[in-house]
Amino acid sequence: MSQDKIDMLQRALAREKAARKQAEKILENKSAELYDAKQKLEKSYFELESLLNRKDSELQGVFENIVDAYVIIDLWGNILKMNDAAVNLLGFDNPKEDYNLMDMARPNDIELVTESFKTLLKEGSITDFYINIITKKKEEKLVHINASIIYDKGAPVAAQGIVRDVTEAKRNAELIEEQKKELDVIVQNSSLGIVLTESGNIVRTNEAFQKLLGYSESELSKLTIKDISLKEDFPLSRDFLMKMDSGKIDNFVVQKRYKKKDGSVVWAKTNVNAVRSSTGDIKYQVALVEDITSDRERSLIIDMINDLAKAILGKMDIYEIAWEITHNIAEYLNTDDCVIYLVDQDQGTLEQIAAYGEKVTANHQIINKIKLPIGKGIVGTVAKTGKAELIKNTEEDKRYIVDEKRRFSEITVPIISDGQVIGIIDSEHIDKNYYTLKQLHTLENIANLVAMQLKSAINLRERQKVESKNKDLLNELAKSNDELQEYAHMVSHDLKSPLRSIDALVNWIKEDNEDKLDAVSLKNFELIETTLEKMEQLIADVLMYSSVGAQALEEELVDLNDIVKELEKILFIPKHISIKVLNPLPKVNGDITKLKQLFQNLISNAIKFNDKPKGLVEIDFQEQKTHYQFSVKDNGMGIEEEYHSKIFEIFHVLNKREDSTGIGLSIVKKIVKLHMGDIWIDSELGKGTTFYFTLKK
Amino acid sequence: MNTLNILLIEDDMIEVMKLNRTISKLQLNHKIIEANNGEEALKILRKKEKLPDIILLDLNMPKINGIEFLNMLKKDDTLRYIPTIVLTTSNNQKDLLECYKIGIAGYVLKPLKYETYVSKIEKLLAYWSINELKQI
Repeated sequence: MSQDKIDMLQRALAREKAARKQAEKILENKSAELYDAKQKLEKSYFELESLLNRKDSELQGVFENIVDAYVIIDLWGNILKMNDAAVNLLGFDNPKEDYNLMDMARPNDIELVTESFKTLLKEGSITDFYINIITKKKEEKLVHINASIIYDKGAPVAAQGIVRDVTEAKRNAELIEEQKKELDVIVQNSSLGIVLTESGNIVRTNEAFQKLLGYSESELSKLTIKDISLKEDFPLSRDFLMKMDSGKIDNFVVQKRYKKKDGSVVWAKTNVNAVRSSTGDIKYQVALVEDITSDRERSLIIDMINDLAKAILGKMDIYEIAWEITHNIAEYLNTDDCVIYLVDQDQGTLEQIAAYGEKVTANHQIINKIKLPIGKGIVGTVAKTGKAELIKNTEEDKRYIVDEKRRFSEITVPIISDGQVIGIIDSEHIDKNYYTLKQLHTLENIANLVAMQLKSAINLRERQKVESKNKDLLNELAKSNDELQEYAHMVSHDLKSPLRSIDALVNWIKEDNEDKLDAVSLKNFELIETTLEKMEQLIADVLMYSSVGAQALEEELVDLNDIVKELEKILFIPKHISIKVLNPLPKVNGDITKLKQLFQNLISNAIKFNDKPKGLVEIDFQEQKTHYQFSVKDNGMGIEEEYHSKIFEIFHVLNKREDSTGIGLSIVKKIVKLHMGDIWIDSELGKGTTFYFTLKK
Repeated sequence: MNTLNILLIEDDMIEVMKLNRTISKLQLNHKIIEANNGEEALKILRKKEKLPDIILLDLNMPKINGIEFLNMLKKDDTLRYIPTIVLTTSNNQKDLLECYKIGIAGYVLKPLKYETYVSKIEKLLAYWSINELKQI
């Protein structure tokens, strides 16, 4: 061994030793470092682990607190995890239940579910998937699903999804849709016109409104409310619209007119409602429009008939009634001419008794009254036929008679009472084709309505005419009665005067020729004087007969016993005749002078015509209901039956006697009649006569 | 017995004769002034020379009749005091009332019989003969 070698070896050993030492040192250092690192690592791991734990529980909270149902399933559909909402939705009792979601799909939907699952796997997610499910509790539900795949190291391991129960929402949506459809049906089929407007511009209209105005929907949508309204009606709505704008009202109703496409006008009741935005501004206006043209017309007719009926009620003046008729009808027909004619059957004419318009002055006096013969003109024809007429163009009707000016339409209706035309309602209008059949019917109804009243007014007028004629006649009669009375007095005076003169002259001849006249002449003078007396009596009786009844009856309560007693004193009663009053006579209401004449005539007749040696005159009476019946009975010569009625006739003398003029019984009958009584006789020739007469109590 | 100035207003000649004859027959001194009607009577009266004491007035006369005459008489301040007795055939109550209304001193009906007439006139004149009359 060489030192060298040893040395070398020694040196090599030393070097190795040193190197090892160094390596040990490094290792030692490294090991320390490692420890350190290990320590550090351990610490961070711990930290990491706690962090992870924390995160995990946080996640768990989020998962559990999701409002929607949250389900994690494996790729075969088995539920791995779900939150409480999902438990509820799917009808489980707790979150730990094992269940395959696929079982919830309805058999029909399996294919759909499989397809969707494939999509989910392929795409990694699926959204807005709707499916009907049957929950564990056997409830049918429509759910909405959003789902995604969970990957582990790039490989799909599970799927998570949020499930929403949209059963209710779907039903609501369907309901709303249905309701909307229903509403549309209602709106479209509504008999009311419905218009939606936005600041006066028409936005939408329904069929009824389109029909009402004759426009299509698209035509209307280009128009404004003003375009289809009448200017005259603007003020009607203006106030309401201002109030609506200022928020004071939300709704108003007006009756206004609309212009139709063809230019005619309809009356409509319009109910306007504001549709406001959340800020209260008016967004839209909805108007419900109801056609009241015919209602209006009907109510116009009813109003008119009402007014007319009220106006003529109780009126008995024919002119007043006719005036009410004309002006009410003129208003209803919206014309300036209406005339009422009255039929005068006696003269066969028609007389204008009332008019409206240019035909009358301010105080209802008719200007240029015309009288038409029945049968002439349109009015005359209607009076003849009793059938109403409607003339569309008077130029084409040859019967038309121009009154104060030509008008082109005419409507003529008869007023009929008891099948007889008593009057005519006639109206004219300047336009052609103005009157309608409906108006004709209305006028006919009015004619019926007024016929009775007019008829009774006509009757009243006739009666008044007759009454005033009667009054005139009575006055005239009274006057001529007075005149007659005066005349009778004059005649009696004029007749009596010569008698008086003759009597004076006869007396003078007798005086002047005293002792010169022979017995025959004196006898003849006596006869002249008796004749004069009879003549004077006759004149007096005629005067009395004409006086009885000519003067007014002066009524007072008369005791007939007094009258008979007085007559017994006045009358010459021969000794062989006795007068008996069988019962005390009653008191009657009457004219004392005339009653005296009555009894005097009868009693003196009974005395005069008594041919029996013992004459008997019996006066008696019987009380009846309303009258007293008196009797004056004698046992005189009696009267043959054939003369019983004749004896009361004036100047009828049965027995020629110097002292009977034949007027007495006529006077008696007249007096009895004046006292509302009757007189008759019962008599047998040779046996006697009884005069019966009654006097009103 | 006073002697009367009598104005007889009468259109009937025989009636005038009757009164004259009656007065002479009764041998009375009364003076008769005759007027044939109211007009004539007024002419006589309006002279106012010698006014009658009484007037006998017929009613039925031509021209101015009795009642018209009476009305005129009563309007005259002087003439109205002359007693006027109506002597007439008219027993018309209307005439009678009217006459009394206007103012008369009597109303005598002319009877048929001449004798009755004489007797009535005798009494009438006798009555007025004993009456005090206003001196006009």
